Amino acid sequence: MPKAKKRILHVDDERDVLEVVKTILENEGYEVVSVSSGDRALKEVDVNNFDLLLLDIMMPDMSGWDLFSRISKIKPKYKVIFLTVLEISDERLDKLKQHGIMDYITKPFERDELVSRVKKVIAS
Amino acid sequence: MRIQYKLFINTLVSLVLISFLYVSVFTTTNIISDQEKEHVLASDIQTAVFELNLLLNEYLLHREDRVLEQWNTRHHSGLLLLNKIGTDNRNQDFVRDIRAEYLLLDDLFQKEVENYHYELTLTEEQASAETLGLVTALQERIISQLLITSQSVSSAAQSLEELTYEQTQAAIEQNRILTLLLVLSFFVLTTIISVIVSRSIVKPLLNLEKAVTKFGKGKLDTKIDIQSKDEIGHLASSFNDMATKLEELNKLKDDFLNTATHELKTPLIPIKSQAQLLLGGDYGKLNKKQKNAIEMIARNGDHLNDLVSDVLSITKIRSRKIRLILEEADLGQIISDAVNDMQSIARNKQIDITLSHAENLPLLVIDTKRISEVMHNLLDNSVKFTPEGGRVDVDVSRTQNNVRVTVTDTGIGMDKKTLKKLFTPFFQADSEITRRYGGTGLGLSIAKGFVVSHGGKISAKSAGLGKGSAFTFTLPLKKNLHKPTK
Ligand SMILES: Nc1ncnc2c1ncn2[C@@H]1O[C@H](COP(=O)(O)OP(=O)(O)OP(=O)(O)O)[C@@H](O)[C@H]1O
Ligand SMILES: [Mg+2]
Repeated sequence: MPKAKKRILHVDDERDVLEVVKTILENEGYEVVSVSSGDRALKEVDVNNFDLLLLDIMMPDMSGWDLFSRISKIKPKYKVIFLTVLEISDERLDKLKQHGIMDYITKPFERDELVSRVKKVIAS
Repeated sequence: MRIQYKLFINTLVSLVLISFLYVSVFTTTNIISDQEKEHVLASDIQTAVFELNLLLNEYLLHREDRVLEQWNTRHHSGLLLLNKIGTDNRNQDFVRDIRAEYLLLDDLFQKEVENYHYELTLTEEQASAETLGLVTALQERIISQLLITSQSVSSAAQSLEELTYEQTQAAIEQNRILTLLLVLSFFVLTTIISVIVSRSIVKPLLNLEKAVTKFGKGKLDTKIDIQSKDEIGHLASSFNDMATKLEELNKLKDDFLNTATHELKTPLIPIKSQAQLLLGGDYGKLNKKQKNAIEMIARNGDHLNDLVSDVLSITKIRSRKIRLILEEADLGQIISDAVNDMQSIARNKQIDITLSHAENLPLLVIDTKRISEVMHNLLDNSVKFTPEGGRVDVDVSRTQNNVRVTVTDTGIGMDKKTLKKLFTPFFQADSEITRRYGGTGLGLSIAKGFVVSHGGKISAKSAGLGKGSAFTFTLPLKKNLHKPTK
């Protein structure tokens, strides 16, 4: 067991989703901070460091895209995975890849897929 | 200006031109007929003079009183003709001269008659040689004058006749040229006006047509640049309004589809994940019954998720919302990947899947994801509807313009009625197997939507129930993209 656990910030407006993702990833040995809105996420990013961001896209007050571009202003080069119900077009993904290490997972996801993608992006 | 007015003015101008043309032709024809009348009079006069000449000669030969009477009537009627002729100014002098000579002719004739009668009344003794000589001399002089005058009157009458004939011919010629010119300029003018009017109508119509065609092809942000203020202008602005509305509606529908997907799928996330956590033993070991129950929950959750995806795919296909991500791809590879994915399920049913494909297939410009989905749907059906121990053969071949993929199975097959309805959404043949395996009846309609949006075709064949089925789809070799139909 490594001493310093990797820290993941998960932002999603659905509490149930936050809960299952937290359980799955904590069982894999990550430390997961779950917040349910973009504003809270910004506050967290302000004071803490994370190894990975997991962002939902369709959220009521601030979309995942907006949140990402605002976080980029505070801390560029964050590693990000979007967790989204809607598919992201390839063009859009290409553009976003220029900003950080990007990936996206469509929900509902397979547990194994989530874990392996997270591992891969953090390791990169 | 409104088209109605434009057309009205066009017609009006044409009508005015036509009436002008008519009046002009009418007038010139009138001129001709005047000329002709003059000519007829002139030839009548000529005849009269000719007859008078005959009468004169007859009288001089026979000295009959009957001839005298005829002369008088003929001369009188000739005079009437001479009074009528000469409406044309050019001929007036001429006519005056002829008239004078004509009158002179009569004078001389009357004198001659008088003289002759006088000669008759002379008594024997009066008729001395001297007197007789005088009378005879006078008579000779009168007769010679008479003959000269009659000669010159005839030649004058003839000249007049010729002159009026020439004038008539000239008028006819002139009239012909004039009419020709008028008709020509009428055509030129009306053509010019019609062209101007129709252009001003047709040009905005063409603009409109172009925009509508573009709009029909799915460019919903098409707008028409409105220049005319006529009915077409109104139509164009109505079109613009409609386009704006449709664009809004379309956006609304896109938003709705996205929201619906999101809302329908979100509850499935924790269902699936919790089931996986439970099955993974994260919350402690499960007994067999618990495991079965959770598996059932998970399976049905997955099924519901597929259903939502399928329904939304169909909605998107139907509203032509499919956006293909096209790139050069190796169809052979896509197909063998799909076959490999299917192998484990097939093996469980002891079904053999074989793949044969033609060598040197060219790269195709296709959407890899969609085509794999098509393949996956076809293979899924074949394995699903083929009993244990059967076989599924996949064949890829090349025709002149297409690549053709055929999936043949030895499964339950289908009757003609089923074949017809196969590609309609939610259709499932009411068989035991469909009920047992579930499914939504959307797989083939989605496959069709994708194939058609690539410009290809899909079809099915079966010799009947229990006799296996074959599904074939084609993809064009050339990048030849069509919008999906319906
Ligand atoms: N290979 C086949 N052999 C016999 N019948 C078939 C075959 N493929 C399709 N069918 C018939 O056509 C119907 C429609 O097929 P389709 O793939 O659209 O739906 P499904 O397989 O029932 O459900 P889904 O694909 O959405 O899970 C099937 O239910 C079945 O009755
Ligand atoms: Mg199917």
